[in-house]
Amino acid sequence: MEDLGLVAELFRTSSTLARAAASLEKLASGKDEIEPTEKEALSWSGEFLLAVDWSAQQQAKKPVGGGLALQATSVRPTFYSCLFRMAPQLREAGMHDEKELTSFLNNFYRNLLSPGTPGKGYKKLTSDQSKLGASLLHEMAESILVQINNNGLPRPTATLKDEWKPTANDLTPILIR
Amino acid sequence: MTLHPFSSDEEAGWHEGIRRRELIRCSVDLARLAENVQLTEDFASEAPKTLSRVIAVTADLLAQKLESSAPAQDLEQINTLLGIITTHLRYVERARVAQTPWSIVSSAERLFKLTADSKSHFIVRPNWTYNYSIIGEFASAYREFLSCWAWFPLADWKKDIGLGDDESIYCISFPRIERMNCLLHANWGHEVGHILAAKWVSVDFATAWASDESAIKQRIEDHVVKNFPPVDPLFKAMAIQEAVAKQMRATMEAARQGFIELICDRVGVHLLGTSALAATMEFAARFAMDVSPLQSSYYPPWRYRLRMMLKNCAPDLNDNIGIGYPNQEIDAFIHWLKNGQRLTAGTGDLQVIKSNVVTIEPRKIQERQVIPFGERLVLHPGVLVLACTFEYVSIPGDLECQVEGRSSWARLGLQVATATSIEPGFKGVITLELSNVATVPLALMPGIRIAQLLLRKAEPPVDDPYSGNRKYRCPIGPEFSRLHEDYDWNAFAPKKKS
Repeated sequence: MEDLGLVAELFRTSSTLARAAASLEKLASGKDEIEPTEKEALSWSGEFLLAVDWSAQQQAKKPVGGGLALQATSVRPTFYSCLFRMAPQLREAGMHDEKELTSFLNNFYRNLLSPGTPGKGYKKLTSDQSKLGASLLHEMAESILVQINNNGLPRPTATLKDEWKPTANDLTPILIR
Repeated sequence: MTLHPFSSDEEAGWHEGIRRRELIRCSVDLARLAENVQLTEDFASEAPKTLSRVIAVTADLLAQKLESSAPAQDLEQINTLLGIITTHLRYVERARVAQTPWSIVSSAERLFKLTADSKSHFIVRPNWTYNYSIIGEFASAYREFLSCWAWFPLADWKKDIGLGDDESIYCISFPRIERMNCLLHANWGHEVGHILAAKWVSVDFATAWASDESAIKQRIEDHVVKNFPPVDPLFKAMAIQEAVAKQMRATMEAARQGFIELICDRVGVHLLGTSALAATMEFAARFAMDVSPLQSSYYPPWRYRLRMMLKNCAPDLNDNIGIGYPNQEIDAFIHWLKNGQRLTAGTGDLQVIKSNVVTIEPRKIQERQVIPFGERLVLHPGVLVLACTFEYVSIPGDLECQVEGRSSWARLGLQVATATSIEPGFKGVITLELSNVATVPLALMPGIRIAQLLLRKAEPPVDDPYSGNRKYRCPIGPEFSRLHEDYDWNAFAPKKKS
């Protein structure tokens, strides 16, 4: 069955991430006041990214259950691809190894969960960091839309075949584009 | 005169203005087209008009809101949504009577309503491609799409589409050219199964996946890490994680799609018996039997599916021995169906599945289901589930036991075991045959007390307890029936006619 329910879920994810990106840009431009719906989008995005990013998940030590686990599994490759595409911006922001990147991302997720007050051990995002985070959310929102805009149905197979060619019981490693 | 270049805000505004105008025109056109479709008397049922009304109302409200309150950040999403719903109007167009055999529509609709849901609307649509498919569910998907935006007047939309929250719309397609065999339409049983499978997938598959995910990830990661090339230091571990994530997504899709197709095949057999098997065999004959799920939109290989269907049809296929079918034609049909047994004796499909880590894992999930503590198993009326006790018992030679249900559960309709006796000397977990004899589903939680063990003195004590040809030795999980190992099964089973 071409299940429109799954498409609707992806659509909602993309839409919420786009809304969170816009709210983050608003915060980056110096506006401290955000509406409750924007706050909700930011904190949902924080929860979602914590479930998607395995490195952050290990730190959070929080198991991901049910529907969120499925959603995270279907979006996770998109998340990593977005990060790879953003490599020049990340380097420009002063990140040169994975430790720095992971630490930025963790800090970013905590800020999404509670904007402005990320909690003990985490720093409030600078304006540039907020813009960088917003770019990541934008990238993800758009990539998810691309995933579903073929007749409204997801099409992960094409990318799977193009990017990953399994041979007899073995896997040919992919190269970073 | 000096020209001042656009500021970045001005340029963004210029882009937005054009984009918005384009989307308004698109929504208005779509609303008009969908309204025109509703006016025609060209359909054999009301279902296509219902979907076109939903499309018209959606497009019209989107056009209004694009004029006033839809923010710039949502334009890309609106564009995608319009792309999606425009396609849906084509499903309506295809259901016109000029395209659809009239005779089929009402009986097909009746069948779908009976088997799936009486509150569902079914658009029956012929396809030029030689395929059966079902698309849906439209109403709840539209609700979900539109509820993403706080600015969208969802209450007005609900009122204008005139559908209750429990009403749904599906579109079922079938090959327009029927070839020589109208029996092929028995494939519709499978398509109706998708409605039931979707309900299952939305709850139970998520639970199964969440409980197995970390173990699957570990195995896939081990496989990937083995020969991964050196990568950019910024993404050292993440590059591996991306590769693992892609494998995990493929594994999940293969598991989900595999489950869905197997459930639907089963529903098809349940509804239409051996006709469903015949239709699937005829349909599958067009394809290679052993294609990997990775090369066929995650569908299990046909040989695998047919083997499962044959298993499900086994009682019907064996009934002709002894009692006989009423005439020779049906006998010939059964004989033809039994060719499927030779077809599925090959194991190419299993080799294909075993050849790749992505397809091995789903099979492992499909073979068993573990409900973790703190979660629940919903036992539906009339369903038999083999489960096991948490306790591993070792019964001495001088005791005999009986498994009994608890009256509090029995009052709700739960039967825990029908073969209740446990012989002296048995060791292992006890397999329970759980069934729900009431008319409403029952939720069972792992760890909860549902049964009790009654112990009796065996007089005299058994010298060599649980010895000889015992079938269920030291089980650590629920065991399937091994009736075929009984000596009397072989002795009294009808012999094949030579």
